[in-house]
Amino acid sequence: MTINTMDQLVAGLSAGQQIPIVKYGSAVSGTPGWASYWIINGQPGAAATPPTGSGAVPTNATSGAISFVNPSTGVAYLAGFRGQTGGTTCIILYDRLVHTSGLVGNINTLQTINSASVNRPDSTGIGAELFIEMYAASGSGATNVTISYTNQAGTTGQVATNGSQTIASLPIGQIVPMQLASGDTGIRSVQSITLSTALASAGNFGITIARKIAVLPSSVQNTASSVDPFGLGLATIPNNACLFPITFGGAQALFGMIQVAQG
Amino acid sequence: MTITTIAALQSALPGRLSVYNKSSLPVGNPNTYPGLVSFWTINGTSPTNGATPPSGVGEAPTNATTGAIQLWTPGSGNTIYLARFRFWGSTQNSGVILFDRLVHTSGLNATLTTPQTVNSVTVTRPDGTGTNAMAFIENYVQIGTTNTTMTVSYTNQSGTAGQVSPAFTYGLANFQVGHMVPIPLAAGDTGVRSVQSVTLAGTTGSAGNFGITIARMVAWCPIPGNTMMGPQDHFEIGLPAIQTGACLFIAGAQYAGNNPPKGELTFIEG
Repeated sequence: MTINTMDQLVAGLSAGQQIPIVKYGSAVSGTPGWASYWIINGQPGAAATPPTGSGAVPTNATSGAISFVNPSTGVAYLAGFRGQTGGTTCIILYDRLVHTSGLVGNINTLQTINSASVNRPDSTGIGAELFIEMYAASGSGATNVTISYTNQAGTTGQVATNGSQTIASLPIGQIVPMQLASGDTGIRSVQSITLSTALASAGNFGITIARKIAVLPSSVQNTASSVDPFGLGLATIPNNACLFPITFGGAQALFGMIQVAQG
Repeated sequence: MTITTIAALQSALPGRLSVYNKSSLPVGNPNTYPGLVSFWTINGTSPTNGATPPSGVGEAPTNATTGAIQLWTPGSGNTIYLARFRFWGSTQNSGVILFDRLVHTSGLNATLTTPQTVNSVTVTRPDGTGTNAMAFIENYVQIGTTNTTMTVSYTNQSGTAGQVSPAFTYGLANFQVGHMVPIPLAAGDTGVRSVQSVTLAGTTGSAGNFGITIARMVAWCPIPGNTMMGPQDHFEIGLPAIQTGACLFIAGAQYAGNNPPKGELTFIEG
């Protein structure tokens, strides 16, 4: 069943799951200030670095995922998002669709990935976003990035870049959104990555494909924020979703919760 | 019966107002954000202050435990829900969180570096699994000011014993009475059923008195600024069901200032 009426919304709320999200901070700061909490300690416990090569399609059963439980029937909705951080930022809830690791920063030749393909809520990749994510800090130096990927229409050989974002001395936990080719609105899989300049040391990074579920503003430092089901647009959460938070503006410790309603 | 329609919600309102009125101040902010400050032992009239929990295995507090926000026994087959949550008193922007206090202990010593056995009682609400339950260190007497780290051995939401938390910071001058530190969980864990032991890497310099608190988040109320009230209606707080026997208490996140905590909660039944 889906939530189509106010009665169904009330019923979904009153039987909803309240799920905590508590994360300690990381070294991410400055520009670009996107911080992933995937491998950061807290609750849920820290995740492992993803598999190398083609990576994996993580799910709600993957260590590190927020403890979302599939509805027994019907559809799951995000009905509440509350929390606060030690910074002026926003907390973004993503469904982590594909992730890889094992890429290195100290070569400027093509690195093959041939990643797994997205499968939630379908295999098109419409609306999915592409990131690079750091699992061991990169060496000093700056580089540009080009990534060959398959877009939402199944067209291979599309090229994403870091755009105007600086890729230099990225710490563990840094996650950087990539700019898709003109006209593209999603991503299905990634084939390869090439750095323009070899950095001082290898580090360890991967690509992450994720879909945004909701955003919680943290407009004032240390001030709690709350978004209700209307503010969230009653966003649907696909079965098996691997939910995890990202912040923009540095990796401040965060304390929050989500509420999931079932229709 | 449960509240599953707008009509049932309207019928259950205005419900019962529970005034939250503390007469003493919580201590200042913990420095180790995301640390919290518990209002459990703060003097007040509604509710009165909770006592330091039993040492050793502790206990599973209930609504009948002194310090819990008072509820009533719902009619047969009915459920109590939180319908509104309003709070003020902090002299800085912050937030307060309503928890169901599932297990609490005390009597731990912040100078010992050998494992201190807890073997706490096990959570019972809403079941014995501990799914989404959070574990905290809670201070009852000021500990020392030397910085150290701690690890905690616990049983997770699947019943796996011997899980060990990553080391986390404990000590410093800002770990005062009432401060709560969330215990980070081992990889893959999403809840805590019970706690077996705690181990400090070094002494903090003073024994103090701390314990384990296992609690479940129920609702959140933002405080947008200096002594400003943060109101939350039934949609904003998500109409959370209150478990029968819940030991409700409030903790502040970056809550500070010169005003004792004040607020009101509206509960409905249906």
